[in-house]
Amino acid sequence: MVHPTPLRQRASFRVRLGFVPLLDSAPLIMARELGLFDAEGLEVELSREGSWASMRDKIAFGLLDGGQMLAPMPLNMSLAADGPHTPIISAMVLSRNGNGITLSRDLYQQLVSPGINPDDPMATACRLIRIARERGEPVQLASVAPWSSHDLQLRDWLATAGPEAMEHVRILPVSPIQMEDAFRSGTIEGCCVGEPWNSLLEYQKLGRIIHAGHQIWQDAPEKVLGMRGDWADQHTTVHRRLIRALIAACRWLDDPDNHGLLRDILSQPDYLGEQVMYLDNHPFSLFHPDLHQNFFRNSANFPWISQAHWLTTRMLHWHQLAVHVSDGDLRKIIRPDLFREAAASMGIDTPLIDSKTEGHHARPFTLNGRFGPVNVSSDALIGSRLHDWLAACRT
Amino acid sequence: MESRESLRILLIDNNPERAGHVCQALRKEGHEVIRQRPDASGLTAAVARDQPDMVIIDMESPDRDTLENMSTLNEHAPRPIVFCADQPGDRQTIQAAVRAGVSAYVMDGLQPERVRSIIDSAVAQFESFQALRDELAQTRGALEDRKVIERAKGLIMRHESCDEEAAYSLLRRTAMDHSERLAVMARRVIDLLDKSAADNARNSKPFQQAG
Repeated sequence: MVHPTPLRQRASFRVRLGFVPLLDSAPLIMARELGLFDAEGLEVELSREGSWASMRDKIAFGLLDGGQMLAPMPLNMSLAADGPHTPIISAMVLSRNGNGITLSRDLYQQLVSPGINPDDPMATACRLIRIARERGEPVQLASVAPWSSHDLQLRDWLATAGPEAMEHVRILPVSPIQMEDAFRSGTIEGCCVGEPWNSLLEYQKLGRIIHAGHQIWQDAPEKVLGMRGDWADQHTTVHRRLIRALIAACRWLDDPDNHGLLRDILSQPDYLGEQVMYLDNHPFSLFHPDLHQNFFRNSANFPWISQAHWLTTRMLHWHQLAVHVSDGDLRKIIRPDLFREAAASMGIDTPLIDSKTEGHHARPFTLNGRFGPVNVSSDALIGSRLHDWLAACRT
Repeated sequence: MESRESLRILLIDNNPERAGHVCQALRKEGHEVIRQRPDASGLTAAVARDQPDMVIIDMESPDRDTLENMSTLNEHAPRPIVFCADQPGDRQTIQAAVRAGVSAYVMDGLQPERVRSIIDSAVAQFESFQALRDELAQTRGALEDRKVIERAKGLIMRHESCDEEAAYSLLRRTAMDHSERLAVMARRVIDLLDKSAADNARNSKPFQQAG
């Protein structure tokens, strides 16, 4: 699908956004390909980034205005004590779920022994630690980037096996592109990574998905839109139009009938390229049914203050953040008010509140919106995280 | 650290030609350069084994997230240079590096001016390499453009039964009407005329309606 260059030159506003080639960069890619940015009078330049670090640096030094970010990234970039301190404004969630924890076939076989329910992440975590203890050698796992939901989910899963669990695992940093080789060479025995990498590891018969990210944190924000704070302050109208275009793209992605076209577009070399083409023979084609990747339904795009707050508590717990974050500081970064305004201008209703108790809802539920009840994603958390969160809120 | 002492630099760049230039420049300044081919998890091992004072890495390399992760997990791992951007002088150096596509990781305790001079050398090499590549691309593009225009001209001549000069002026006029580059319009003409010729030569529309 190659779209011709529009014949008429139109006055439009130029925005530079970065994306990392993953399945959940689809909202940005489709907003461009479907002409949704054009419809909002935006000329968006998409820059494909090889690493999250490269995205962070380009935004910090003004080469990009913003982009697709890992959910903890706006918090990390705005609050990091030692980083290039760059205030970020995040007013929209681009996707929820989509991560998987994949183990080598060997380790998977050992783990799923009689008496272990493979659907119970707390049981599998205990079993994994027992395997490591029995063989007297830590299990080697990989996560993709610090300040990522993958890293935090992997640690939260393992930690359910008890306070000493982390002594029996080693978590190595491996980028998604190199995950396949790391499995092949036996450097790692498992990883937590986004799609399409879990599907590819399964397809190459190198690993099997033991858990989906949503079994650790249900319907948690995965990728978000993050714009440089000074840019967002100066360009409120453009920012709103950007959010509108991305909401429209997310709504389009929600319809499975569109996934054939999506697949054709993502497989272009400028976007995901051959990673997606590998999946030609994969039984699920594009979205793995167990991973519940979600772009729109149940107010998926709403940026909850409470979810950001809870992310900061996880980052604190795993030493990725040095200090507690006040509600006031968080509200400078996460902006449900901006999202509400953009959504309302499209006739999309949003919850009236910005915070809820995280960890209470195992199923989607309804909250009051401006015009009536609004469906909201579930938010169950592994183990007893709810209490951690409540305790953290009181401090 | 004695300022004359040579530094051990790990260089990661999957463009071998550019890496060669950077390597040469840094060695000339008396540094020890270890070149690392990017591969799965070999980087973690290489950093542990070679204990570089500094890592120079292509900004776009996926290995960067590995380095970032190492520096959060291990206090003896090199830290991203962008974390040192609090001094105005450093900020300028780092900004130039980000623009040129160079990123660097440094061990704590290195003298800032030594770090700056190494980054400056790498940035200079990256920039001159990019300039060379741009020039090459431009030359190639110009050659390619000329070929496309010739081909479009030929198709128009056949389609409109006109001579070369008339075909060229038709092409140029259409490009101007659509405020397009000549080569872009030529490509569109080729798409259109080639396709219509293949579909059905008799029903193909006159060129004036094209676009």
